[in-house]
Amino acid sequence: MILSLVGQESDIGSTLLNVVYLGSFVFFMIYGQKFQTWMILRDVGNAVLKLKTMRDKARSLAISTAKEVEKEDLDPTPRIDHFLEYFSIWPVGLDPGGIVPKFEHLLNVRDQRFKDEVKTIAPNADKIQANNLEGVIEVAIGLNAIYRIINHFYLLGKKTMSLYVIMQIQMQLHQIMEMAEAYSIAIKAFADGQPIGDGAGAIVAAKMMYGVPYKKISKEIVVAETQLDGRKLLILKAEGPGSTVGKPGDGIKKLIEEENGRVAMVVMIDAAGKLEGEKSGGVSEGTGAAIGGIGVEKFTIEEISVKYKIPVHAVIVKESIKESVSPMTKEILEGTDIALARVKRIIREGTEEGDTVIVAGIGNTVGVGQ
Amino acid sequence: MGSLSRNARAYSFYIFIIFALGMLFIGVYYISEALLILQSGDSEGGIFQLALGVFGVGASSYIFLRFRKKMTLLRQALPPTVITITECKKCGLKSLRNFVKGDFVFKSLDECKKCSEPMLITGVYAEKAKK
Ligand SMILES: [Zn+2]
Repeated sequence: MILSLVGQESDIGSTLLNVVYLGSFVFFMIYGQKFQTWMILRDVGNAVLKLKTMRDKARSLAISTAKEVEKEDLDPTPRIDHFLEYFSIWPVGLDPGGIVPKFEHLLNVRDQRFKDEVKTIAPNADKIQANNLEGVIEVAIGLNAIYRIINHFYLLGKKTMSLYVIMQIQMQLHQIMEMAEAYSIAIKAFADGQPIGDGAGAIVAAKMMYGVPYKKISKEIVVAETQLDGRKLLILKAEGPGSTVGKPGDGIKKLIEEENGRVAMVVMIDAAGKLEGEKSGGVSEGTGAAIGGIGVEKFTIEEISVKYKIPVHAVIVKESIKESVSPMTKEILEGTDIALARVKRIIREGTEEGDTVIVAGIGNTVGVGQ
Repeated sequence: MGSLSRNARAYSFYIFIIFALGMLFIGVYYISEALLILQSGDSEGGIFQLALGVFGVGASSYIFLRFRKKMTLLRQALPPTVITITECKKCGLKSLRNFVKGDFVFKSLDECKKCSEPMLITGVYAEKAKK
């Protein structure tokens, strides 16, 4: 067909052109996969390079933050470098009965280890600075882990030149890079103590408890007592403005036990993942314990609410996973006002005067006081 | 990843650009040729020439587009501008300013300009970085 198209003057030149043209088809049929592997490897290689820059930036930000909060002349570099590869070995899931306490224990140990490490790196930092430094180091560890894993697959793919090895990582590369980018922005937020998207629940609680005296109830969780139309409100959130999520599950449990189970309702406010296409900062409500993480806190809340048959309501502020670790946007901040109104409406409609209601603002409280 | 592979990457970048530029020129040349052939009345040969030209221009612009996309992908995300909202609870005076380290939501600030009540930070948010 092609021959007939060019075929008017069948000189050497046009024949050669046809041979090259048809030859390239054969070439791509045989070497197409190699070529594709090569192209993907290049993409992943670029991503690895970018991840490395992000990791290095995060590392130097962790070091400079540590130096900034530590007045004494200690060099934090070696300790931070050691700590960047910190890992946790999750408990075995073969025997699921009793796995939650194992998780809880592990998380407690890990948390204490982080706090001790920060204490060694910057012994003179105040509590807010120490918590924020902990956040910075945690994000740096996360970025380092992403870099190491992608680099591993990149090198493995390069070594084997196998399309299937390298495609495993390329398929998820877009989401991974988006997450890494969010992390590398978030680390700045932790270093400066700015609120992040995940703190939406903490802001709602802070708005309800501002100006009221508060006390500590469980690890890094504070509670304040206020009134709303004759109902007694016990409002709890993580103690800000340093970076922490605290242990709200323990706090809720303790409050319910202090009230001898006479709690009419628990309302939890948290930031939650939106679906693609949904507006961020939108507010929805539902039933159940609105709290993320591995599930230890959720388990505690579910157990205690079942024991005393207390209804648990959830109000969520929608945001993407990327937004939840990035500095809080205006839409999400505006969403907290809508969420606040929703919480009040749920309490007014679902309880009577004289009832006790627990309101828990869940999320990282970095940059959010009370 | 040493400087060697970085250099190799830069070379492959230039080779790609030269390749794409060459393809673009040949494509444009083919199209102009094709127009001449078509004018002379040889519709079959002209269409083939035209197809070749369009293919060349298309392929080279695809390469350029891909590079542009890759460049934006490689560019580091800009840090957002962070705004602090300060408010006076008494007179309602509300103002925005840039975030300073140490700001946090519900931090009490200096006294309000109008009354002697302390100002309060009621919000901190990030504005999308301008491209
Ligand atoms: Zn005022």
